[in-house]
Amino acid sequence: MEGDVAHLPDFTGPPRARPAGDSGGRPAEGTAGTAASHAVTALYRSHALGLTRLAFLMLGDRQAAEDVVQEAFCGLFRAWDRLPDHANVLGYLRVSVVNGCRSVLRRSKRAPLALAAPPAPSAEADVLVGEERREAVAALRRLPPRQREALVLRYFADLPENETAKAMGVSRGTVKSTTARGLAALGRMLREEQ
Amino acid sequence: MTALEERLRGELRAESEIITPESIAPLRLPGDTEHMPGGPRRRSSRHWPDWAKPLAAAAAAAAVIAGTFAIAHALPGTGRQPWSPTRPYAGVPRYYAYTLQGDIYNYTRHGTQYGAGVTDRYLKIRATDSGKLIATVFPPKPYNDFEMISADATGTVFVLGAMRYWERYANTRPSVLARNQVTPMRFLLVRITGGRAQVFGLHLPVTVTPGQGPSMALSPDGTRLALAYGGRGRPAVVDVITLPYGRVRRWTSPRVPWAPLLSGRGAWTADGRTLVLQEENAPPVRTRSALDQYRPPTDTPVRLIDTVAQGSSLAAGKLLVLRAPAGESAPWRVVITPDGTKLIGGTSQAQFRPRNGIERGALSVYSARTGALLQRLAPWKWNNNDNRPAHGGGPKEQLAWSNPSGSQFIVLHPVDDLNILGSLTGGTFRTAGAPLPRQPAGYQELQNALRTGTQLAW
Repeated sequence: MEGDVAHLPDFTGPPRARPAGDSGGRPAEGTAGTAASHAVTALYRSHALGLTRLAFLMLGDRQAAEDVVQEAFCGLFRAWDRLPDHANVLGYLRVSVVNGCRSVLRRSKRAPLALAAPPAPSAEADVLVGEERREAVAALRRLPPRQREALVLRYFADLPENETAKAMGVSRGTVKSTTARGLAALGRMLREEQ
Repeated sequence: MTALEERLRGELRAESEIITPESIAPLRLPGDTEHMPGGPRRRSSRHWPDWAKPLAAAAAAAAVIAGTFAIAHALPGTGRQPWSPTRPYAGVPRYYAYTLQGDIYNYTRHGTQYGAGVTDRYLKIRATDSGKLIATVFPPKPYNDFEMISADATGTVFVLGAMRYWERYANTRPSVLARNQVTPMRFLLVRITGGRAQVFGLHLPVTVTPGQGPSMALSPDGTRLALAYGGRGRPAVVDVITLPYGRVRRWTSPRVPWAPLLSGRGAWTADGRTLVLQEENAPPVRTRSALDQYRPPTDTPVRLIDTVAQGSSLAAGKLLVLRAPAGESAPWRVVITPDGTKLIGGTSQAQFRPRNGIERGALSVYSARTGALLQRLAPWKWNNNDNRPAHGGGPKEQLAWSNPSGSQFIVLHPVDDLNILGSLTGGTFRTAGAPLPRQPAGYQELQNALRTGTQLAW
């Protein structure tokens, strides 16, 4: 069910009272449920691209990234009536996406890799993809997950330290130190490759 | 901001643009079924003409056979994983994959047994040298049928195309089954490193459905996936997708009566430059009366597409018309040898509806420069009246692997009214010997699987 962006202002206000008997973990059917659906869909239209890109940079797996973002929005939809502050739904989504990425990485127990990157590209492949080779991104994917998270949130999402800290669920000081360590490791790896 | 931070920011932005706005799927909220894939669907039919059945009885039920035609040697300078097999399988990819038939459901009601199966329910990957089972892969639910598979030249990267083919009950409504045709296919990537298989979801920037009659071919280096679909009154399309980045290069034609067909990786030359596209011009045969009046084509047009050259028109590819040997039907499932010098396709007698009596056929070898018939390999004969146990079905000749020059093959070949996996060297078919291992562990299962399943990637 796709909503209309024009409906967005109607649904960013305080949540409506939930009808009795709704315990299914999703907004009630009827007006409130429809309202949540429209609001979440509108938010999805606005933010899905950026969040999917964020997840993709963390996971290196396009399908998994899309799944994480879909799940984050489904979670938002289910929790819509319980959210204390609808003005900060983007922050909520960002945290959901970061947590979703962690879960994916934990489950798969693998480092994020570019899909279908050959074990060792051929000479021809080198020529073909050479223009698009992004060594810093490749090095980023070899960093520990927390450092990668911090760098992606800081330098891709352009979040300030306090927002990054909220998204990661750590203190601002931890963000600073993690970012510094990540940048240092990244610099080392790039120098070694040269 | 330091130079490193600037560089990181720029590269992250560039990398993220792999995810394009158009590629974002609609949101599916809990309880919202509008965007969910459709219900049970039936496998798409390729509408193989009757004359083609001698060569692929099992393939007649499947949309695409990914009978893959591998190359012997890694590309120069590949630096791939070290593997130095000793003879007799030197040059053969390290792993191979094949699909197996499986049940969807099976039950008995009022004494009557009901059931339904799909020919490519799941997939196994084995080591070429030892036959060791590396992985068994099922499509992610609700998908349940590997419609297409293809491998790279080393046999360490496989791309699998899954379709939904779900029948819940006997006598499922045709309208429900017809929805199989329009469910977008889902793709997986399997990479084998250190003897372990890892399965990844592969989200392609192109959406294809079984109803479009897709076929695919993974490039020898495993970095590009060619997808062909459309035709039959619609534009024919060939997309070559650079997998790590999702970049698509597209070749199209105006509306055409034929269907584009890629024969697994046998569609690529070893250098990954030339792609061979077969124009499948045999019209669909859907009714018995049409079958009675049907006459198979006697030539097969193929296009050699230079994937490095400029242009986006399929017509720009070099056209060769492969004419059938006298009295035989047009070559089909045409593959190119890795060195790009020969085109090989199966041909068989053009006798109409050869359901009874003796059938004959062979592999016909053509020049990739002129399209002229050069030689015929491994002629076979098949007695349809053979009633011995396990001798049912039809003849099926399928190239599994070729050395660079096309002088040595692994092939499924009709022998004594059975389809046997063996080697073909110097025109002589043998059930063992180079390039096959002396003790073909796992090959018996492969051979049996190929009699029912349709997909092989080697």
